[in-house]
Amino acid sequence: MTEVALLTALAVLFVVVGPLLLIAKGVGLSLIPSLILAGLLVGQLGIIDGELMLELARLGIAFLVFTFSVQIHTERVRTVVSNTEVVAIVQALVLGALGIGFALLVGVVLELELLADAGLDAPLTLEQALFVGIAAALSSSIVGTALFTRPQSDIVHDYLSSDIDSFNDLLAVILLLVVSAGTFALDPVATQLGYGVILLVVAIVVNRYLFGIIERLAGGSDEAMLVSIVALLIGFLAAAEFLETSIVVGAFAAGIAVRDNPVEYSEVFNGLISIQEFFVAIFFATVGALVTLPSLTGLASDPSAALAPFVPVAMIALGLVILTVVVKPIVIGALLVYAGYDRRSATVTGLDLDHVGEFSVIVAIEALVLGLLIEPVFEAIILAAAVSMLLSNLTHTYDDEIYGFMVSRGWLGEPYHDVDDWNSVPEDISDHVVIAGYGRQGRRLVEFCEEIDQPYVVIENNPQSLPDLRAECDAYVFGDAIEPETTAVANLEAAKLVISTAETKPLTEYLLSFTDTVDVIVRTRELPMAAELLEQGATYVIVPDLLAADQIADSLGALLNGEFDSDELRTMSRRELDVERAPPRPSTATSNSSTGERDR
Amino acid sequence: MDFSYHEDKVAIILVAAAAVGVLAVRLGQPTIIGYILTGVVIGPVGFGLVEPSVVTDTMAELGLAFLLFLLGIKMRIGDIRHLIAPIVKISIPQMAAIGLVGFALAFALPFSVEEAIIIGLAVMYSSTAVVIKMLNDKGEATSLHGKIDVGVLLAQDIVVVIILAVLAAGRPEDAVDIASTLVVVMVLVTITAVAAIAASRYVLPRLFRRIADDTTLLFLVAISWLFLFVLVSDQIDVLVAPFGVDAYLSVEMGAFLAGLAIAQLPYSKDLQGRVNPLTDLFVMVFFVSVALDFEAADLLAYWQEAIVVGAVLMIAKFVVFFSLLNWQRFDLETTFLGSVGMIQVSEFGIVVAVAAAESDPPFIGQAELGFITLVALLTMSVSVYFMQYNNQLFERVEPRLSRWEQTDPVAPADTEYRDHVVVGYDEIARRALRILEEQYDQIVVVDRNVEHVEAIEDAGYKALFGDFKYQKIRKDAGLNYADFVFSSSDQLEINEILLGETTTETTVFVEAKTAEEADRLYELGAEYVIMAPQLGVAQFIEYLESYLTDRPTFDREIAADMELLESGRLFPDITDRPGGDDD
Repeated sequence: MTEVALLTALAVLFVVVGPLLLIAKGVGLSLIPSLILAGLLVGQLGIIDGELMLELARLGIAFLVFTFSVQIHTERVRTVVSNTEVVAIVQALVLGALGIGFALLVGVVLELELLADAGLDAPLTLEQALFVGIAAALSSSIVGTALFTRPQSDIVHDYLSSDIDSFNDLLAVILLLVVSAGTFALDPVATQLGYGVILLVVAIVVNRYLFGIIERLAGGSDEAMLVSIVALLIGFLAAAEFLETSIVVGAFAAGIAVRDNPVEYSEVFNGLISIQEFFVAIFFATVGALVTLPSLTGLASDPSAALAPFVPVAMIALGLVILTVVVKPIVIGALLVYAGYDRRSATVTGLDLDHVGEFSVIVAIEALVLGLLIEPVFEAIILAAAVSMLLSNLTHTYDDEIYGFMVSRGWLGEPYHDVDDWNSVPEDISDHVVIAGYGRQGRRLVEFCEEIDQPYVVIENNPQSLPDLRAECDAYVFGDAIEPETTAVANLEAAKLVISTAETKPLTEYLLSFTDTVDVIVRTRELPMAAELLEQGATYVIVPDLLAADQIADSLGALLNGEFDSDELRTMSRRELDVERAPPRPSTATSNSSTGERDR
Repeated sequence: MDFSYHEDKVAIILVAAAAVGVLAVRLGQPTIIGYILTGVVIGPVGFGLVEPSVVTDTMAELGLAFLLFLLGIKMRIGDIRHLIAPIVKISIPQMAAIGLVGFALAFALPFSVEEAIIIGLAVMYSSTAVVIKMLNDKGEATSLHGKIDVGVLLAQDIVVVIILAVLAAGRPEDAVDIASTLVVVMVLVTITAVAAIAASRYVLPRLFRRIADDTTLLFLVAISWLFLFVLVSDQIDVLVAPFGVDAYLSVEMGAFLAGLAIAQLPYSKDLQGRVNPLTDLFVMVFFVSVALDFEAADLLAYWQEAIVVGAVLMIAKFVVFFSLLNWQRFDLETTFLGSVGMIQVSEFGIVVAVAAAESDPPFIGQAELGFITLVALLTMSVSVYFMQYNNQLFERVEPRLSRWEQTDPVAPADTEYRDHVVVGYDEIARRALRILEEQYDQIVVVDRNVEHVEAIEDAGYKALFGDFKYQKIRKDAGLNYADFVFSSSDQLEINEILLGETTTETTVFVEAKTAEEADRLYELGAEYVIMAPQLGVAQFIEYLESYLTDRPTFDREIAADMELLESGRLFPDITDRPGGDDD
């Protein structure tokens, strides 16, 4: 087939994307691997002019990096590295090294012609191996968070993975800047960094002085503002192009230049998101389309000849998949356990991050465009990305089952180094209240129990809460509430009542298995779930919104009945807020702000 | 690989268009004028910086496709049903009359018959972009004259699409050829339209319902749906070739029908907000590239004629519209305001002219295309000022128009939703609804969850599917007129926007995640800020106290909750909830 008009190629691409996305939704797959797969399918038709399509696709990269950097200055720049970030760095270094080593090994194998007919046109140099290493190391979330807004969660493994992810993003941006220098040689890197700095300085000047002028000139017109911001982005891209550095640098600088004001220009930012999603979809589909699979007709007539050029690609891809899907979770899990997390959170976090990141794909395509990466390695990285993302989807869905299987095989060892170090529960405690989870809700319950002199035991598995637990709680167990050892130490079977403030399904189900001996109150945000939980024996189900509704109904009713007017309501409710905000005890003030974000 | 060539062109176009566009906004001109002028300045007419490239051409094509797709999405048949009859009765004679005027004018000037026909066909329509933009800017889109104008514009757009399809088929040899082309086009349009409407009735509702909760997915699948129609209409000659039929269908027609199919779904409002920015971007490239193909000589070849024709057309359009609206018994003010907005020549006129110039062999030359473009440009610019000051103008001339005053004019339809809005639907809002419905007659619930919207409608309230983030949705919900707003969204941004758009008279309840956010919302004027988890804990501790001290009291207290929890239904009928625990 011959290449067709760009519009037709785009149309074909999207026509294939639609049904694939629908199927993906049906079987619970995520967006990006589906887009890459759609691209793979269309790519085999041979109707796409890769070079032209890439041009639209690179707008996708530009928009991705742009949106990422627009948000950068809104977050406070920190100098302290948290322990999850240390985990992220060590993980990236270990996997990166393994990836490089593996790629070099493949290079040697190919060089020695140990495999008949399978060879590469170009040798697999250290430079090529570096990109394989990058692909193995980074499991980034930039697209994940840009395309799917992840609900904030108080579940330990959820915030662990998003922490590690966002740190990976930062690494990726830095790597991209280096890659865009065109080569790893020191001299050009210095020049490119110089250009990068110039662009950034221009960006800051634009942000400080010019952007205000643009805002004034646009005169509140959303369209003018949207067009101006897009033009600003394109202008920076052109400048980057002119300086012969990567458009990624330009897009990054453009993001810095734009003031993040999502409230005043909500329509503009909504608009940017639409435009971004359109081009990002084109980007991932195009990436898929650039991969050449052995043709089916060729396979039928002469299998070995058709397969030969594909062997190295498949080898590298397979190695990358094993590295990311098998080795990476093990490394992350081990590091997290070492950092003090319980084995469940560590395992599940590892299973969340077991894929080649979207950002690695961007790094790979930039390297390809700049001529740093040879085609077979590029194709291997893209294939590995698609496959590992699909597998990651599976492991994420079945993470509890996988964890259970690993525990039952005894692969994960004992849950505690020494359980006695981690608790302060009196041996003979009974008729107490067990509170699972020490978030904001847990704290309030603890305060209440102390007020009325009710004995209690707190179970919490987040090592970051450990200092607070030690300082504030008479009786606590630090560990995973689902482990039998934990419940034994908490003397759960002798308790009067168990209250879970966490919403994890396995925890809820585990606690409900004790309903024969104790009263259990669990929590869910989904009202329809509640009936099921009551059926399973829960004494009561906390549905936060339902409870809150009871309280609001009072205020609202009183306002509408004319018991008080809106000004009085305002004053009253603001006063309540002061009570809410005042830290119950001085010592908790700092920890509150660090965990408070995750309460909802 | 070298990418810089194309990217530079796109960069120059976008940056220059943005600059001129911003300038146009400052000068109170429609941005379209700015974009076209940009093309003039940077194109061969001006500095000759840019020539059209594959990428700009594709973006321009996409712009047109998206513009018509967006138009299709807006065609909620239910919204304009009562105006369909008068609109048909106005638009058809109007187009015939103006077409004739245009033809006669062109024929009187040095144009050939064929060119005069094309000019007649090109000047019949008023500008969707200019009129809708001005109506929106002035907040007149939902007024009676606004609705009439929009309806007439849509009718004109259908005619544009058909004419484009005919032009795409190439030069007709004789009347029989025209007739057969028209028949084939009509048959194809009908088949596509029937397919689109059938899909919108039987396939799309189920399909979109499954994905509507995921914004990105909904957006991408909608785009995929658009491209399906674009692909089919683009490749229709290949598709029907085996049957021995020679046929063409315009990409624009396909895009429009794709939009029309989506318009009938409850998610169309939400999609409008998503598709709009892409349309803005691509349409901008389209308008810039209109002038890229011109040499200065072509655009200005007939400048004197263009001024004369423009002036005559504006007067003719006003007179024709005024008489037709008057004939349809609209009141004097509506008639005047509805007519004064429609006096310009549309961007679709340029589209028709471009199609005519690009058909093989061309119906008109570059100079004639330049002439039509210039007429459109001139009339658009002038009409913007007429629309800007339409009310003042009406006050001035009203005494002189009194003899056209109707004794029994068509009554303007009621504007909906004047009362109050609830944003987002959850357990909290559900309870609030129950209390609020005693006080307010009209309640609108906005939610972005399909199940919620269905449950709300089942419970007998008005529901609007969409994300409150989008201005379009806020406007449709009538946020600025609301007496009471209850937002159960805890997204700070949304609540800040909401507080910015309501007046001090509106009572606003919003939700917040943290005490800091709550503070900010109070400062912005919220009457009450809900912190659901904290309130929930407070309530739960009350229960817990009973549990620990007096178990029977606990059982009594949670009885109402338990009943609801055990029902397991997401939204039990709002009225069957026992109200025991309200006080």
